[in-house]
Amino acid sequence: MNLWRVELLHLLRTWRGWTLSGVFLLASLLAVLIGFLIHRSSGSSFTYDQTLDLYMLFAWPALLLWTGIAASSFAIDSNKERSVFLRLRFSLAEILISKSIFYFALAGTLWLAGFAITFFLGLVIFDGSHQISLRWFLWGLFFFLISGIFNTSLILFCGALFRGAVASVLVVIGLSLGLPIIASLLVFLELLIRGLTDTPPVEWETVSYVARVLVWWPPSTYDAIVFMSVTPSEIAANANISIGQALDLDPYFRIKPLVASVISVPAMALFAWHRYVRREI
Amino acid sequence: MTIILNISDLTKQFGEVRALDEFNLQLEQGTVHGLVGPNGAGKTTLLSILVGLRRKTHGDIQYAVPESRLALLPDTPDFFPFLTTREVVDLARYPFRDRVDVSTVDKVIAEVGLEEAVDRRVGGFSRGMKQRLGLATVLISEPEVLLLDEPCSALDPFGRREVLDLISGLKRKTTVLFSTHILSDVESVCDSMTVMNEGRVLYDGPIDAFTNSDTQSFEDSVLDLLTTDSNNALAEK
Repeated sequence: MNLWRVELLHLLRTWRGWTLSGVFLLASLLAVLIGFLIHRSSGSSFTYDQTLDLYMLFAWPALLLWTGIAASSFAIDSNKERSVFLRLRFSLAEILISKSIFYFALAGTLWLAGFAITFFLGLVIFDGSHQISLRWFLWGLFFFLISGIFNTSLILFCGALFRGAVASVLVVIGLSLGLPIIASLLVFLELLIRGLTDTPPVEWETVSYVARVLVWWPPSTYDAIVFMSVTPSEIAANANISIGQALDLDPYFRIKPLVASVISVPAMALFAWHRYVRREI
Repeated sequence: MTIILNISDLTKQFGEVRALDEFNLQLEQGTVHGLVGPNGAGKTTLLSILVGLRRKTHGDIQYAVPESRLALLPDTPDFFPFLTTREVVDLARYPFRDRVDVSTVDKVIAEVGLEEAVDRRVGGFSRGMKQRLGLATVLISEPEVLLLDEPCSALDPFGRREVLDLISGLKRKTTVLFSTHILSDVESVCDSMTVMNEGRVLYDGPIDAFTNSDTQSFEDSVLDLLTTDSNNALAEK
């Protein structure tokens, strides 16, 4: 028995693992179902890459659930006695590294499994004549992994801020979900005040001052996962169409949050390490 | 006799409160040493500092053994409820897997009397069972210095007897520092003891030398010492 197996058993023997897997699977099935309904009602050709775009949207709640589960697991000192058991037998580095790698790998595996299920079901049910560009898929995957690394570091950081699991979970979810919602509201208010409400959402980043700041927020790298479903026709048009929104096929689309992630991840990890080491039990 | 643990002038300050005040202690190898004192005397703080869970304010602690040969059983041990008894003890063995064989897991579980619950998840365990399991998790590491924080507090009289026999059986093989409220346990198991109050040492020496009077029991002598100290402290204030 080692720390990796403990984390795995924690998921398999409690509601956490099954619920999380179920929500990712649900996102996948929902994407196919909604795609099927759109296909039937509009009568137009619905392609499997559009199903993948839907999956990326529906996987959001599953990622939030993952965030909550991971954040509560990182709150190692929330139960004093269990913390004593772990800290007396394993170094803090062993505990934190095993948790970080485990939860990062878990989110990646489940998300990609859901993606694969959607991909194969989409290929069978919908128009599969287009091929996804491997080059753009890998670029999107890279941004997805960076987003996962940032989220894991954010959870580690919040786990170090508070002893209690509840406070840690709330702050992580507040930052992951609340901050973009508040910022989007501010963008809308700014556009309203400046009389620019007709601006399409894809252009907000070039028009709104708030949006220009928000684009540096590291989790924005997740937006670039739309590159994972780019088809040859989209490459020819030099635009990626995802859920009705057309984006320029620019590989540097999310370079600003990528830079912010590269800076903030080690900073948060160092801060967390310092706090965990100095904490008395 | 080899001194395995030497504590000198150990002080721990929590804001205005001094939990340990120039505390001194020497532990001889292979002995069972009792740590006696009322609630808030500083016993748990001392044990926490000895294993690095808390930081000392000042003072010196010297061990004659490596850190890996030291084990602490907290007063209310708790474990991951989704693991079974065997898995918990095996997890506790993991850091020492080079020198402790996996077959030792079942042996230690039997030693603490949990063989019937070996494949049961620990989530439903009573406090007494958790305390036995806690003992198994420290014994599996084959420690040279064993720090026990009130190991019998949740046990019934039979369980208490078993644990005390277990501690007696460790004599000469392992050095045990044993904190407890139950004075009769100290009298029956320990070779020496430290009586402490408000972080200070009131008595440190062999059990036999503690009671000089034939008429006064061991328990009354300890209570007398603690009452006199509390009264003196109150008078000073």
